[in-house]
This record gives sequence, structure tokens and C-alpha cells, in this order.
Amino acid sequence: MTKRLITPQSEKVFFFLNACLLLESSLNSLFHKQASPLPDHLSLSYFPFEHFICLFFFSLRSLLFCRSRKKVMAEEGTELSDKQKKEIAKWFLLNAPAGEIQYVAKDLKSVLNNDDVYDEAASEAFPVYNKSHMICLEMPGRFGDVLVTSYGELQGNEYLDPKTAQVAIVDHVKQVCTEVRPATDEELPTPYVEEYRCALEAELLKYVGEAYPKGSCSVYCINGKDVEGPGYDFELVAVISAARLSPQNFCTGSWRSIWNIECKDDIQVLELKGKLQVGAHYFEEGNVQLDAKHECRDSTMFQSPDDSAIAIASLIRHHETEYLASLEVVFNVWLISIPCASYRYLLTVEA
Amino acid sequence: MEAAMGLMRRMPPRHSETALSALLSLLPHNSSDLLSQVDLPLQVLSDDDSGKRFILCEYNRDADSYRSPWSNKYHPRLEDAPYPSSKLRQLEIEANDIFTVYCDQYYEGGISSVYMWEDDNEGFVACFLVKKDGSKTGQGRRGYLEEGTWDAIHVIEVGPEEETTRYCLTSTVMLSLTTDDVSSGTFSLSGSIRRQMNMNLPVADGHLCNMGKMIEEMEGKLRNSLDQACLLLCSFELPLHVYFGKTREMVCTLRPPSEVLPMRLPDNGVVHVP
Repeated sequence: MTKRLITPQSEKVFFFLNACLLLESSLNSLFHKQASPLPDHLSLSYFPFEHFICLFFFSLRSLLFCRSRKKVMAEEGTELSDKQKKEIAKWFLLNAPAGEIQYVAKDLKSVLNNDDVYDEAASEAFPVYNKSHMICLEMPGRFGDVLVTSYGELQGNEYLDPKTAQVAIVDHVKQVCTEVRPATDEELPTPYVEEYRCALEAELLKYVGEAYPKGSCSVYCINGKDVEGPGYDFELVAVISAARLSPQNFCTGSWRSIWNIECKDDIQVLELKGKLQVGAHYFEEGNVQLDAKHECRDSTMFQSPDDSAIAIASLIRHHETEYLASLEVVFNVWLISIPCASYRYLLTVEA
Repeated sequence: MEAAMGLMRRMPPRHSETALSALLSLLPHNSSDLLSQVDLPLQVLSDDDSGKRFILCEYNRDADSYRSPWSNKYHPRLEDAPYPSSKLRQLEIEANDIFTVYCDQYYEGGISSVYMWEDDNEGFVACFLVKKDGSKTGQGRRGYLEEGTWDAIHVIEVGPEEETTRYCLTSTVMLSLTTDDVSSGTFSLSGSIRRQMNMNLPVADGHLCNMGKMIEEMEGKLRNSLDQACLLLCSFELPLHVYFGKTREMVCTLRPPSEVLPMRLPDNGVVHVP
């Protein structure tokens, strides 16, 4: 028995790709028609929507390809435009697991075989990736490490390190810190806010040092940086980022938590809002990824800087520890649910 | 092509369909290679003649129709379609019956299908497929999960019939688990692994017996290495699958699990507002 050699799927793919690309390009041209009379800086504002449309068709394409089984013959030939290629390249870069973007970039470069498109995609995707993964870079000149986060972002590629009051200039694509300069007074909070920020940072550094091997943390003031004394609200953000990368063992893992701390002066309350995210990737003889997210809230009394810091740090410790425990419970539930020889194993356990 | 497979190894498995279609659009000339090397979640179709469902794959497809292992008919109907020889079809029927029982034991239900076809060098190829839905809405007997599917593909190439026949098994397992819980957030674990195993076995024992042994051993192997990995893992009674164990180990080493035990509420006059 010989199977028919033609693979109708590939023809279908071409057809649907072509159909979608036609739609996409007509939409794109629509955008450009609208955008062209506008000055350059305004036409930029169309970009996110256009991006969304592209992604929408992109997912539609995959949907059609997977669900539809109608046999349609179509001609090959419609090449993707550079813009579409760039969007696809960005999608790959942004979906890279923690710490693996350089490997993805290397593979992507050879798949694309077009350095201009790659460079453009990389210059747009790397900053977003670095900030969302809160990567940790070493600053030149014994200043320690700086976390690349949107909370510490100043203009250009400059990121504030509140711990050392230095500003790191970052090369996103190479993922290195190239230069360091001292922060100006405007970039730093007032002594009153700094006292709270610094006390919390000290407490959290203690906690992170105990709980996370290779973890780093930073505390930023994102609102009310210029508050001079009691009577006004301000807001701090504490971020914790820990990564364990061992590509030689085919696994990577990352922990990210972001804690917004609103200091409400009028009601003397500190309100905490936490976002925790865990990811892990195992890729020997396959590709297995874990992705877990959690949000939580809590509050405590507004006290002196030192007491507030201790209270916040213990709340963070409590919530993160509890979350880790619930993660273990979920693993246990999964484990029972995973079939494949579990039957026999359960029998031996019961025996 | 190598780079494309490298990308597929790193993209989130739950987006593998999007990733594949992106690669297809970037590399139209490698489309058949890509389609044959990337495994997507299995699809199921209902066989009206037998009232049973069967699994769709590349091995029971011709043009746009799929052959049901239960009625041996193509869905939708197809003229001039290839069928296995009557001898092989007999083996296929037997294999389907046995594999259904096997799945009921090991997988506590699920949909199974076995397909066989002759290959070019006087041997044949058998493909054992299982699709198990363990989610709340699925047919699984344990409905803990929001979403929980498990697809297994075992392809065995059987060499020409001699005293001892060469069996070459390639197993792929695809898994997707999601838990969504207000108190603990969302967790998702998804992925696929592929392993190979070769054996020379006496044909006197029968092909089905030999193939069954290999599949059982393959699954046992995974379980064994799992127990090994378990010693390294946190102190848990029930071990996870080795690969899933590894991903958990990663999470645990990010934060040593000893942290879990001394869970102490803050004792410095903190006011808790739930």
C-alpha cells in the first residue's frame, strides 16, 4: 500500500495563508491610507491596533489551518511582506521562555535569513522582553546588579537602580549594561519617601537572600516621589526576580513577583497588591513548560519607615510562601490526574 | 530546518499551532517536513457505523478522509482509497480490541485507535494512539482539572518477518494541564516529549504481544526514570513524570521547599484585613 504523496494540508495552508494575507494586506493598505496624511509621530499611534489586527489574522490562520479540512487547491507564490515577517519574528522573540531569548534569536535569524527584518524585530522585541522578564544585569564598576523593569525606566535605554542611586545604560539586544552614571536629584525620591523605600528594600533584601538563591529585588517609588513629609500619599513598587538558567541541562526556570504598595496617609493604611508569576521550561527530548500566575491583596498599618518595612516584608513572605505551598498542592492533584501507568503505580502504593 | 525545530522546542507548547503556522509562512518550501515533524494535539471523529469515536492522524489519512479502525471505512467517503491487506486488517482489528482494554486499565478510559499499513521493505508499521481528556467536562473518571488532556502516539516500525524481527518504537506524549482556582491563581503545564526504543524479538510470540510489551516497557521506563528523579525532588509521596518532575524541580530550586514548612504569620502587630 502506498500512501498518496501529495499532502493536501500543505496546499490548504497555502490557500488559507494566501487568503489571510490578502485580507491582511488590504487592511494594512487601508491603515496606510489613513495614516499617510498624518504627521509621522501621529501615524505611530495606529501601530498597536494594526499590530493587533495582524495578530488576529495570525491566530485566525492557525485556527483555519488546524480546523478546516476542506480540500482547496491554491497556487504558491505570495511572499510575506517584510512587515509581516517582522511581526512573526517579534512573536517568536516575545514568547521565548525566561533566559532563552538569545537562543530563540539565533534560530530565528537563520529561519528568517534576512538581517534587516531581524534587526528591526529584535530592536522592538528585546526591550519589551527584558522589561517583562525583569532581567538582572551587572553594572560596570562594582555597583552590583540592576534590574531592568518598567518601574525603573527613565528616558531612552536608561534604568534607575534605586539601591545605588545609579542610572544604568542598557544595550537591550546584547542584554548588557554598557555605562553607569549617578542619578540626578529629580530622578530620586525625596528623603522622606526614600526613608520608607530604603527600609523596605533592606528588609526585602534579607528575605530574598534567604528564600531565593540567585534572586534579586528592587524597590521603586512610582508615585509621589516629591512628597516632602507626612500628609500626602505615595506609592512604592517592590519587584523580586529570580532565574535559574542551565541550558546545558536543558532546563530554565524563573520567578517574578511585583508588589504595589500604596501608602495612604489619610487613612494611615498600606495597601498591598501582588502579582506572582512562575515559569519553567524543560526541553530535553521534548518541550514541557510550566506557567503559573497568581494575584493577591493585603493591607497593614502605616507606621514608621522601619516598622512599615518589617510589616510589608512579612506580608510578602507570607503570601509568597503560601503561594508556593498551593503550587505544590496543584502538582499533587496533577500527578494523580496524569494517566499513563499511574494505574499500576497506585496499585503498588495501595498494596 | 534545524533552526525551525529549535524554535518549536522553545515556544510555549500551548501555542504550538500558532508557532507552526508562523514557521509554515516563513518557510513555505519546508512545509511538508515541518508538518511531518511537529506533533499537534490529536483530533477525534465519530464513526457512525460503529457508534465509536476514532483518532485522526497522518497514518489513517488519505486526501481529506480518515479511515476508521472500527468499520474500516473512510470518513468522509472516498473512492479508490488505500486499505491494509486483509491479513494486516485482521491484526489491526485484534490490536484495536486489545488496546482498548489496555487503555481502560492504564488510562481509565479515553479514546484509542490502532492503524497499520504495509511499508516499502516487506514489513509493516503500526500506530497506537490514545487521547484522554481528564478535565471536568471530559469523559475521564477523575475530573480535577479545568483542562487536562493527554495524547500519546506510539509508532512501531516492524521489520520483515524472520525468526527475530526488528521493532522500532517512537513514542510521543503530549500533555496539557490547566488549573484555574480563585484562591491559587492559574497554573498550566503543557508540553510534549518524544523517545525512541529498538528491539529484536522472536516473531513466534506474535506481533501484538511483542508490540504490547514494548509500549508497556516504554511507559514503564518513563515511570522508572521518574522514580529516580523523584529522589532528587522534594519529599513527595507520589512522583511526577520525570519531565514534569524536572520542571517542578526547577521551581523548587528557585526557592528551596524548606521555606514552605516554617510558615509563620507575622507577629509584629500587623493588622490583617482579609
